[in-house]
Amino acid sequence: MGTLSQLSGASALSATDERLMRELYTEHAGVLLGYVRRLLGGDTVRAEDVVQETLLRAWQHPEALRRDRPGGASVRAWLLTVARHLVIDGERARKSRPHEVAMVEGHEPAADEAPFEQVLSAWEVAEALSALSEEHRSVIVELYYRDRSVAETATVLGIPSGTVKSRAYYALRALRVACEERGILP
Amino acid sequence: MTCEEALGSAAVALLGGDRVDADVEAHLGGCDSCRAELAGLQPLPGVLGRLDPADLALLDASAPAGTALLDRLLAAAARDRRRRRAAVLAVAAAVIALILVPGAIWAVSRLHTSAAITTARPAQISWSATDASTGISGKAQAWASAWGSDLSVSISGVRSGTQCTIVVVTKDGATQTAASWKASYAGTAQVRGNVAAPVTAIAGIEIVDDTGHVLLHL
Repeated sequence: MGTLSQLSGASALSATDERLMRELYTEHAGVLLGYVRRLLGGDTVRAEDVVQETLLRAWQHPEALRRDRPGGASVRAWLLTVARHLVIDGERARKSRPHEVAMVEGHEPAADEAPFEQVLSAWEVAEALSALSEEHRSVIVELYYRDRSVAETATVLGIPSGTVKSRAYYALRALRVACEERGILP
Repeated sequence: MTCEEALGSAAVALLGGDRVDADVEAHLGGCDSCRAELAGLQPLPGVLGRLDPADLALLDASAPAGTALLDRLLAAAARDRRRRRAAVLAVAAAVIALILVPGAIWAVSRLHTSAAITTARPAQISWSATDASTGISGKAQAWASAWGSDLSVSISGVRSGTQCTIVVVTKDGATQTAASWKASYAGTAQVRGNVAAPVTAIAGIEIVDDTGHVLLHL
């Protein structure tokens, strides 16, 4: 009668199940929340719903969490893609129900809010970046987004200048592949 | 300058929005494969530009300290597990039902059959005997009927043309006639009859001829 008592028990989760979910939350919930909230114009309530659904799907499909999958796409990139699709589906559903949009409280689109399509486009880049290894991503972040020199980047990352250069090249190659996989580049 | 060194310097220049150094440019001028490789990387700074550097921090955001969302996640996961278990159990139940229902129907039909037998023959009693002196032998069965007992008697060795009667002797000493017939040329007969006495009250059966002589005790 073990099954019956588990069914009626307070927790239906095994220790392994719970550990996996806690790990997913600790590793990814922050990033997902930030991006989904950004995409939804700051709507934290809906963002949490989307993140919950995203992490639940990841938890239901542990095969998607294997980092050595062919293609090398990281778990983070997979999660961001799932979340983006959930947001897009949600937006479509909302648009087809205009009365509900009007009734949503606490979400008045700000005048300076970036258009949905523009945020989506930025999101795709974030996904592509998150598909890179940490080594590759960090060198792009330092050289491009933080506008650091090779010497500065070498210091920040604690690697020789020559390594910064060769890593920059391989990072761009990897980014190119990640962009092609996502249809960002032909 | 090796190709890798040239491409490394060119990549750094691409990301920094700078011109490549003269020695790199010299290498690229003489190296088709490096030029082709670099051409493939040219669109990337434009792609990176779509992402606001301020949003970049979101890629390193850590999970919210509050446990509300985590609690919701664990609860959702538990609901999911229960649903799956319920689904598995439902499938299992369906499979078991598929196996058991025909079995149950079979068992019930068996019960009905045996009940019918039991009702018709709650206490079926059989007798058989052979009279060594006359050579007459017979078998009898009696079972309960709605109004008493039904009997089936088969007998052989009776002289042809003998008028025979089945007499049921009850335990209280009374006799009841169940049936009578005239023996055929072969001297064998299969006779059915019935009496009012219940099966449990039957002490024995006698086959009697028309003179009252007992041909066989059963």
